Amino acid sequence: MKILNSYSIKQLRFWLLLMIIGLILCLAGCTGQNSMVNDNTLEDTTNKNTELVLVEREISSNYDPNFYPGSNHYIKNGSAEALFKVDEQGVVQPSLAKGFERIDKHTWHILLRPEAKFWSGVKIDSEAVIASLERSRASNIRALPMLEGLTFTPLEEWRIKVDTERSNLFVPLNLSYMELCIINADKSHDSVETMDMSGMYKVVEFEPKKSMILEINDNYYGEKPNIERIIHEAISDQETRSLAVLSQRADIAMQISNESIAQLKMDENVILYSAPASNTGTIYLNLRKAKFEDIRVRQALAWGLDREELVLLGSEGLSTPTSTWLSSNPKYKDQRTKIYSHYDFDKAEDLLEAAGWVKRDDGMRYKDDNLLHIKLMTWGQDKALGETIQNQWSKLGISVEVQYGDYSLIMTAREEGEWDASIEAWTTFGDEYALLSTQFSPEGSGNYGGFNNSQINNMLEELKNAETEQRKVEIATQIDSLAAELAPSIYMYPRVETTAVNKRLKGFQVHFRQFENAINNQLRFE
Amino acid sequence: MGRLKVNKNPNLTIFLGIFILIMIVISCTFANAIAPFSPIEQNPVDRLKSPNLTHLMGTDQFGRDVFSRVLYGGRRTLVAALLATVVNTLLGTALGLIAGYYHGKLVDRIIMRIVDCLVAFPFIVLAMIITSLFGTGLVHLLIAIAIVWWIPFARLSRSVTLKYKEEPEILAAKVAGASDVIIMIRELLPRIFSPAFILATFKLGSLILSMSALSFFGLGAKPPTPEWGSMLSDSKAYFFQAPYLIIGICIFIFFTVLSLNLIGEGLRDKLDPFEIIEI
Repeated sequence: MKILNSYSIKQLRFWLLLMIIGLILCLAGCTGQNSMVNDNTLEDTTNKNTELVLVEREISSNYDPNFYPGSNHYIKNGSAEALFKVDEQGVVQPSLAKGFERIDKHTWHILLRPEAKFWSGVKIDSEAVIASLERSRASNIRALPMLEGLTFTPLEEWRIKVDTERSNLFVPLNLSYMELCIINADKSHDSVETMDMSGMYKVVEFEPKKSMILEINDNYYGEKPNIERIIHEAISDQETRSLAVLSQRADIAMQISNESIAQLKMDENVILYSAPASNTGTIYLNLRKAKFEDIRVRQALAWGLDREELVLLGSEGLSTPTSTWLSSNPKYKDQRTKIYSHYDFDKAEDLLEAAGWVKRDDGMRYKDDNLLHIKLMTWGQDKALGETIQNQWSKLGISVEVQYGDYSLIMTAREEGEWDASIEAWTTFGDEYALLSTQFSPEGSGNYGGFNNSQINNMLEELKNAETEQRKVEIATQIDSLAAELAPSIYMYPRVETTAVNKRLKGFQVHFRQFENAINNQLRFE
Repeated sequence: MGRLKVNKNPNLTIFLGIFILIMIVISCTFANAIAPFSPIEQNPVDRLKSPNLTHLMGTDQFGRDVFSRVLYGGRRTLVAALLATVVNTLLGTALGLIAGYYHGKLVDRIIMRIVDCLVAFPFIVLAMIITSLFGTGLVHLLIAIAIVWWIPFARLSRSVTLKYKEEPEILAAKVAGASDVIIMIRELLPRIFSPAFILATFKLGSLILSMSALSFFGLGAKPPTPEWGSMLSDSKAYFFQAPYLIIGICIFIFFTVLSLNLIGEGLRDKLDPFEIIEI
């Protein structure tokens, strides 16, 4: 007892007290998970339809929609419109334009709305629309591919003729592209005062990259929206976005992380909308590396992926497995399980053995004393997906190193060739030739691995010149199947975009291109 | 002014600290025997299970047993922290000793200006730069730590050297013809040893916490290797859904830091018994 003098006892008490406080705080954290959000239930139900707060990861960075990221955010919040839009079923519908006519395989007519005006009241006629499109062509590199080979001529005040270099190009689909919103080209678009677009809302306050306030555009030609004011804010942190909608500070929160879904589902004031996007999460393989030259290795990697498990762990079970690139497009959904119909571990092992990659005592595969090692690069938000792939391929005896990075890190690695595999998801909705040539032609910007196959190149040429829609679909399907078999890349599942919406808000439309569809004129609070 | 007391019996503090630390070290060292499951084997069927008799700390988003991962992760975390502390102590002590011995000369000015620059430079920003330049991983985490964490040791070592370098026995050694290196190693270094050791025990605890914080930037072990910091970082996203993921790791970190602080405090009281502490 000599040791336990009064000081020591007091010191012990102090530490014990500290530990008890810590434990109490931990327990309080465990049990009180919903208290913070439910205390703040909305009392102000009298101000119905006055204001809606929309939050997402980023908003426009510039007053001018031709600067990225810009145009799709203006379309999303209802302040801008393209000539056409794609509906939830993937069908092209009129938007700012009234309609279209196909004259012949190289000519289209776009019909405009005489009643349509910009915010300023200036009429949106043929000259104004062409000026806007040419402005996009001159200053927006992202819009360029959709305008390539198109020549616009004003026929009448409300009719535009479009000539195409390529035959049978579906021009309205190109003109529905999110980077092609129509703006008043006579304005400078360098401040709120000089912005002039055509949407149902107009911007009244704007701090680029941070927040934007919009009010109803009195000159809008169509049905006026119910909600008077929109606040569009950027909240980059995904957990803060979730908390914003849980606390009812925000009415719509976009890009909800998979990890937050369970928490949001428990809250009775929030409704979650998840739409599988028309893109395919793909593992691109660097075909310049010797280990991927053998098709059997690539096919083994494709067979050795349990896509059901990837969907469960990588996207909380919200998506659907796909084994070909094009199959995330609703039009090609029959392709989903056409090639790699199921997880086949044994087949994957056999293919690796046949390719000369033999398992040794340490459980890893070697060929000529070289370990089968794959450096897989992926994005920070895909950590769960990266680790799941690593786990699945490791079972095959492959050494997998997962590296998480941001855009610049991954791009640098690609430029320097210092990568084996990397994950990315390109859109699969649009003109088939443009999409497939991006992925599989030797010059394609999405062909990271340097894939070059003469059979596919010939089929792409055939697709380019296809005369009918049916023939286009046939050839695109053949290319998609062959590419999956040759496995220059490995296809997993469409990335899901989840949006959390205040339960009181009615009229929200789920869309496979949610990134350009959030605000519509049917939204209202109950 | 508060009551002033002298800790006359630091043995209990040291004993308690060592006891807790040994328990943690043993459980991590013998993780193979203690841990009920593999720390890396995924089991999607059991994902995000609350603590129960099978999984004492529950399971993570991949269905891996958190308790097993904490035990295995402790090995790496403790070894990395110890390694970083040893490197920092040696580096800082040597540079501080040189700066103090050559006080006012060019070498002192250079070392102290480097110290000033590094102190002024935010640690987290430095870690982010290292991540973007070299990528993630435990080695880079140690580099980030080694660049900054030697500074307190250098300052301490320099001030102790300045205090003792004019003592008669040091001057006598100089007169007797002892070289600067001999004086620094034989006469000054032993006097720096005690305070540097005490500081190291305190810093070891802080280092573990810093490593955890840096793992939020991906500067930690690469997946699927468990490490406390990266586990904490991964659990953050599931805080509302599965708070037990964080609590399990926090308990181990808490007791490790507590034990090191108790040892450091006890050693300080024991080796420097005239220290007046304020409670």
